[in-house]
Amino acid sequence: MGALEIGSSALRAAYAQLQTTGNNIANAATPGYSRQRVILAEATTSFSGAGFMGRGVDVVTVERQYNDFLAREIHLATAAEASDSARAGALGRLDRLFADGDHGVGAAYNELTAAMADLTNRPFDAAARSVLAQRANILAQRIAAADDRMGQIGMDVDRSLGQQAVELNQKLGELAGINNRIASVHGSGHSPNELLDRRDHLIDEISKLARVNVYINDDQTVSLYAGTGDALVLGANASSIAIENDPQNPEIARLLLVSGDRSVRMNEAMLGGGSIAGLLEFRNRDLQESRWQLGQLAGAIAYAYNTQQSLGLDQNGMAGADVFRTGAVNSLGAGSNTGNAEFTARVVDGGQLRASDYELTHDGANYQLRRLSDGALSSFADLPAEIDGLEISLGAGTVAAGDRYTLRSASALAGGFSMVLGHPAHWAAAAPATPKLGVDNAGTVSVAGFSITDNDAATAAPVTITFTGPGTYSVSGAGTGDPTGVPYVPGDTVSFNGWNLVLNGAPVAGDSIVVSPPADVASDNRNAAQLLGLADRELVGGRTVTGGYGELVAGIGTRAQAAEAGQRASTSWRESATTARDEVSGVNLDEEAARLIQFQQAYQAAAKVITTSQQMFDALINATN
Amino acid sequence: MTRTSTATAFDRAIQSMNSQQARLQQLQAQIATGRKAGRAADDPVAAAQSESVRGEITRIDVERRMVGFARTILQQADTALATGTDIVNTARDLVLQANNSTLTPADRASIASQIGGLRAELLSVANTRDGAGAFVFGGQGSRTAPFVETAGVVGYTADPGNQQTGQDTRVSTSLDGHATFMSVPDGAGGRQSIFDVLDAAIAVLSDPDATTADIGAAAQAAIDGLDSGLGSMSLARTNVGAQLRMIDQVEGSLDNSELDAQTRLSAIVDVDFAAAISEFAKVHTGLQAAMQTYSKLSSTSLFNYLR
Repeated sequence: MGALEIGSSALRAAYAQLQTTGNNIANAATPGYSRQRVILAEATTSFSGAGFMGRGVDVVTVERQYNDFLAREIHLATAAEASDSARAGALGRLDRLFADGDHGVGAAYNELTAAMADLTNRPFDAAARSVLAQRANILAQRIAAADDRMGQIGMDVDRSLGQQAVELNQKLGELAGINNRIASVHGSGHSPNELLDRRDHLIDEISKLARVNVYINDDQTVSLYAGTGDALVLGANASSIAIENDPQNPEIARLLLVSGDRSVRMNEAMLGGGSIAGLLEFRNRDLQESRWQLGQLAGAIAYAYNTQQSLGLDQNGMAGADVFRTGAVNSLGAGSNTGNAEFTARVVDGGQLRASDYELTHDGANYQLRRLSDGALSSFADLPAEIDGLEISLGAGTVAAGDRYTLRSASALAGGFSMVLGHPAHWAAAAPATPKLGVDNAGTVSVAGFSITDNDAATAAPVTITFTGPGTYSVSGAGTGDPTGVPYVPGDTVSFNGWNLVLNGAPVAGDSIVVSPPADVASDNRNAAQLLGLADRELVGGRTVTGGYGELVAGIGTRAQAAEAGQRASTSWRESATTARDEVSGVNLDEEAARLIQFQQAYQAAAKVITTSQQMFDALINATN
Repeated sequence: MTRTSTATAFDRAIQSMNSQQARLQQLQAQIATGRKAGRAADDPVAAAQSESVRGEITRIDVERRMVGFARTILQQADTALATGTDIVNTARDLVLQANNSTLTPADRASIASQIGGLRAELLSVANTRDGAGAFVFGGQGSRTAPFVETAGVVGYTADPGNQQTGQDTRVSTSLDGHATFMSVPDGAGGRQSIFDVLDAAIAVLSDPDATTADIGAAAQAAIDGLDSGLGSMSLARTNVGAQLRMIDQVEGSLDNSELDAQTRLSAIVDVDFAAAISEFAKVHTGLQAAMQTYSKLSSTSLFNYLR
């Protein structure tokens, strides 16, 4: 009977091995499947007078080929890759928005400048004025469109974040369910291989969305913690996450942990991986900061061109009207505020503008202003107050102690940026006053420089400077106080009524200079030359408009480049981690083919043992008949 | 022992083909358009540079538009001044001719009438239009004729001085008509216009009662005045010539700067065809190799031998 028993145990073992090999082959391409192997052990031997006789083979269990450490490596690498690739993808969109140098904001600005040259050449030329107005309009549209597209990208990212949160929550729930089933089969003494594979694969999938720390409990269930330290899955219980836009700043997405009916803010910066972390990084930093830069550029352009316009006279002799209008600065209060204040701000020095919004709080006595880009703090007791080229004022309502507001300045300036010049004739090409040397002057006194600093009714008042000798002059005209005996030194600046006149050369008594409006205002090009000169001036935080825009484009490019480099590195990390795991857990079909032969032969041999034992038994029966 | 997973091996092969195909497509697009893909991420520094080079090219274009515009006006000014000089020289010759005691009053009246014609011609030269809606001698700018005759006296209505254009190079787009035609010493410490000089000569020459002494004195005053006027015109013409020479130089250097800027821009945004085509060939070969190895890999299986 022993041989028959041994044979049938061998048959069972070979069958189990064939079955397992078949399962391996069947699941060769199943994601998350770990190769399985049958664990055999010698059956308990029995003692006979002739010693210990083998009693066959036992199938102990089916073991999954798996290494916790390698799995953990993959979870981390997957999270890193997903984060980098989500951020790189979003930045790629932003990059493409600014990539076209031929049709971008920079090109539109260049065209505006070129048209300004034609205005300077011939200020009363209607065609030159009209082309200039069109160019200004195109520039404004490009800036507004860029801001609008950035807003769209932000909304798309918000939508995508929402979908990913739903997906993550669903997977967390699934994992809690698997935990529950694993716990229920614990105690059978055998490892629930399929459930464990599904568990680990699910953690891979979760890692694509958010980086998690995994703790494997004694009963093979897992506890899952987010990179922030918040528990996501404990046994059969799953929390969920939610993403909402900060009510105090809709440009910022916030991450919340929801357990039951309680929800708490998570520290986004600590998430550390997964596509949700990558998108949050893009949304709250890359996009926000780039949009601030565009707002700074828009605010600075509008300020500089409007200011220079106001210093000139248009074709009809009127003071220059605004060319550009920026979006309005506004404020958003936190939900916890008890006051109802609304703050506004206007640009009072475009060159000082920063690429940042601000957080405004009130402690009952003073306002505290925190610049969001770098956290710089300032404080003042009363509004209006000036900071970073902005004059901040209380628009409406009252503020209460402890209230928090976001002052949306840089993020609002480029929104709806528009050209508002009513008619091409309104370009202020002329200066409101011009110096005229007396035609009978006998000395060599000359005008070395003339500029307008303020343009009002007084600026047009004629002022005569008459030299009473080579070293003195007197002045007459409204607003001058008619001083006499003023000492003259070549290079001196004479300032009255909103203009500065620099004189040079050697005058003689009787020489004169009159400052008065140009004889033909429509022909004068002095303010047009100043408007043209703005292209060379450092209007945007110490940079020219071209330089500032180049910095914006390069900044986005640098971010995208860094994200892509990060993605390449994390992809190669994930690939090498996958290779390492697959060396252990992956199915090799050639290997399985070889095993198939091996187990088939074992099966045949076991069958032979049984038939042999059968024949021996038959021989014995026949012999005793 | 190193094992490989069959699924991973296939994944790898597919991935490698995908990435090479993507690169091929990118290169193909670059070669077809002649432009690099135009992503700032590929080279952020170059992206910023391309903006600044475009700005430079605009700056060059602006300067060229401005000095080019000034050139058309200064050339007209040069012609006008040459014509004006001829006219004044002719008038001067006539005055010398008139200062001859053998002439009859009728002869002098005829000369006076010729000088009157020249005066009208000179006034028209002084009011030369610049072809762009303004006047060559328009001072600080004028859309109407700057020299206006009121009750037989020519006055200058524009602001004395000149109008300029150009950013780095300031050049005139309108000349000081006052200094050119209205700044002749009147012999009494004041100034008069060259038209006043001619008018005074005409008045004496057309006076049949003028004595030889009167005529001699008037002729002398006229010659002095006309010489001074010629001096003013010659000074203006020298100034115009100097500006035109400067414009020639500026335009030459603008051409060089633009060529240089365009070359730099091209290096940033245009495809290096040799490099792109050679990389295309390389990637193409790589893709073919990947496909061949894939087909070998997929045909090699132990199962093929188990029959």
